[in-house]
Amino acid sequence: MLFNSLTYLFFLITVFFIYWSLSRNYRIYFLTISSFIFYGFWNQTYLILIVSISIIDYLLALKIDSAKSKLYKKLYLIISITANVGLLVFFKYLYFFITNLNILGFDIDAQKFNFILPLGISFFTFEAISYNVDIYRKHFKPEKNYIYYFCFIAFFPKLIAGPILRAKDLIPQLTSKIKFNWNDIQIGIQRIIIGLFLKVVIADNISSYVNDGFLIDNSLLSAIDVITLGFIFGIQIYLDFSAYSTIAIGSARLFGVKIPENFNFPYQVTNPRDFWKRWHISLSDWIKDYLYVPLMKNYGGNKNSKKLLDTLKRNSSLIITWAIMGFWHGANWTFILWGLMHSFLIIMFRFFNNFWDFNKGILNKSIAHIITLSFVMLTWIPFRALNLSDVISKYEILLDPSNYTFLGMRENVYLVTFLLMIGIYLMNFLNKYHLAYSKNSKYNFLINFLIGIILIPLIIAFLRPINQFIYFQF
Amino acid sequence: MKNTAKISLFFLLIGIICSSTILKFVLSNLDTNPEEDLLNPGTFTLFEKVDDRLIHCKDSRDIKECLDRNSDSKMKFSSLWLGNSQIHAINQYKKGQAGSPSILFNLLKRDSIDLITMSFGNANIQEHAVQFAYIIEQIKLKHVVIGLVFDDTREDGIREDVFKLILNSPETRKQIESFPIGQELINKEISSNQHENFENENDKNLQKKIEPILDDALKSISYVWELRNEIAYHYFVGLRSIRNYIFNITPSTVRKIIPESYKRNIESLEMMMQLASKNNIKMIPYIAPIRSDIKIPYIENEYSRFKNDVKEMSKRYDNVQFENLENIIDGDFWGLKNSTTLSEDLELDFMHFTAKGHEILADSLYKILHN
Repeated sequence: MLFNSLTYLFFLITVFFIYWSLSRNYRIYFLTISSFIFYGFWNQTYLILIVSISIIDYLLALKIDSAKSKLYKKLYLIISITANVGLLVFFKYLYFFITNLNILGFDIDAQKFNFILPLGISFFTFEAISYNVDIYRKHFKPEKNYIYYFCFIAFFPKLIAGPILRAKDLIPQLTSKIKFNWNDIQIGIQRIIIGLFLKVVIADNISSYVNDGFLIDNSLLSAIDVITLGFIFGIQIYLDFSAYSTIAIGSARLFGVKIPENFNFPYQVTNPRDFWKRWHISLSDWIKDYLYVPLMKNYGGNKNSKKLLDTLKRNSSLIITWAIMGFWHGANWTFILWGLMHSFLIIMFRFFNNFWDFNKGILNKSIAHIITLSFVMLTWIPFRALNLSDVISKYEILLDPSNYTFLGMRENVYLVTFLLMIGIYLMNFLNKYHLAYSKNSKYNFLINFLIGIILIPLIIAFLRPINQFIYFQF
Repeated sequence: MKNTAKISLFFLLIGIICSSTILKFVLSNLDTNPEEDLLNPGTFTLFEKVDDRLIHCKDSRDIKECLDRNSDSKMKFSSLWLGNSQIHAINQYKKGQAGSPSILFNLLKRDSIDLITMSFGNANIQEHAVQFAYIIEQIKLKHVVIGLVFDDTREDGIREDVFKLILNSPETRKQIESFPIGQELINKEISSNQHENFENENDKNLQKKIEPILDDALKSISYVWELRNEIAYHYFVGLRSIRNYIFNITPSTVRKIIPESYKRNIESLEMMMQLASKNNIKMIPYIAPIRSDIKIPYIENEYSRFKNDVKEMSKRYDNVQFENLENIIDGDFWGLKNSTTLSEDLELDFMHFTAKGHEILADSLYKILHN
């Protein structure tokens, strides 16, 4: 079910009233069933898939916990990871692998393996893996009552596009006695309205500029156009995805559940490492805890060593991790390239950080911000481009000085991009000085009044379930 | 904390009530005409009828009326005239004056030709190509006349009400898809707007089935919800006025070519020529009149290139006759229009002329078609 739809709003209101009118013992059952209904609105067949994998993971978690020997614990964990990764590979990557094998000379009918991607598969499989790894590592005790585990996997606000939650973030909240709280309701409604505004009023209205821009024949694009496309897509995906997370956080709050933030003004950064602490935080943390750190440990790259070999090992781990992270986003070489580019940005930062303090003084900070932002925005080109040759063509445009002398798109595209960047800086300023999202009640009255008088009419005018959230495709 | 949250929610509710009241008041006092938003009371729009039946249509919304009238007509031949607002807008209109479509319609009657005119504001050639492909699936044409405005080559994409002609007619879609540019136009439109009509009814998920039901239910109980397309439209108009005011954009501001849009429009024109050729239809692309007593808002060599491109392309097809009508209407027969910014000052109008201009245009086209 799309958040930006009347169906979702009616669904949410109905579930909200029934949930709070039920006695405490039944709420968790109702929330879990509602979450499966939410998923079933998209596809009833794939509902079987999510239920089946939940049962398997739930049982394996109990086995991991109860197994006497370490060998058996490891075996059950491997089965769980294989089941989840296997599911992901089957639905998401098999077609990609076969088409690439065919390029190498094989002759396999790839279309047979071109399945509809189950919504949210990349998210709920990662959550299931983290659950069983945490139990294996003894960071978390398995939940004995299946309904809490099912609700952890299927909880509808975060089911389709995250944030990717850990068991420790959600299950203790679900098992605790959640009480009705007006403050949660107030914050929940506020977050949902702000998220809808970002999605339907801004992100959806700039999507035509992005779609049209990336369809332009590369021979007609100038270097300024390529840079603008990087920026405007960077803005669109940020607003679109952060809108989803904001609505997810707000929706969960209506049921008394607190979901961690997934974004923290990611374009206000002075280095690429900082960017990943602010962008899709739940994924970055997952990748760090379950991929990068284990890889480093097994590979032997000492974190603090300055030796060349250790540096090489550390950087290799980073490159592999980021390539996998890119690939997680989609079965295309362009996503792997995007991940690799980010790993190189971080390696370059680590190198230059030895000579230059990025955070010393306003001048250094400003220069570091401009450089980081420009590179981050330009890395969005492979993320959105059609294929690798399209990416190469677009980057080639940047290398020719004569391409900086003309413009190839409508004037509005440059203007809108510029104004939205100003808007992003303004929001950061307001946030920094606690003028927005403030806990100060004096401002909250005013903010809510302004939301009602300005944002609601805009949402009414533009709410259409036409454009799905970009991260739904991952 | 509990009371603070409740009061905050109360303020939200107050905001919603205030905005609903304001919207209701504003909407009941606003006219909405998305096709003609650049026009004004001094510029009158005219989609004329003969014997109370439409001879001049816009798109999928009213095309059936024009086609029904045409099929009832006793005339031997049919012709089609495609253009932008120039052919349905009259500056400083006085009651009883006629637009060029009805003048030309009456002139062509003498030659037993029934004329259907189709136009809407800022129509681009891609849209004309769709209209043309649709019409030739419905009726046999003798001529197709198309007014070409350089400004419109900056427009890209096909508006929903025109795209519906493709959605509603598989033959038109097949016809258009047989050309590479046609395929590109359709793919671009589908990928940009995710047209649901391309989906099989069985492929629609539960949400897609329920959403229109909820939408209709809300429309029936809420005036504001019913008019939300108009609210969205007025937001855009307001934003455009602010942009034009800040950057001092007026009709006299020089517009540069947009390479991608230009390419797609010119390729669409060639598709029309090929379609006309295949269907044995005489095609008359003409450079539309422009006010020439003052500096035009185009870069001269870009405008010359446009005229030359059309001329050279026309030479490649035996059935195509290029005409340049850019200077046929004297400066006296053009007018002024209201500002497209927040300013109160009137602006020069390069696109629309007075009734006399319409007479001149219709006469010129009649001479070409008659000969």
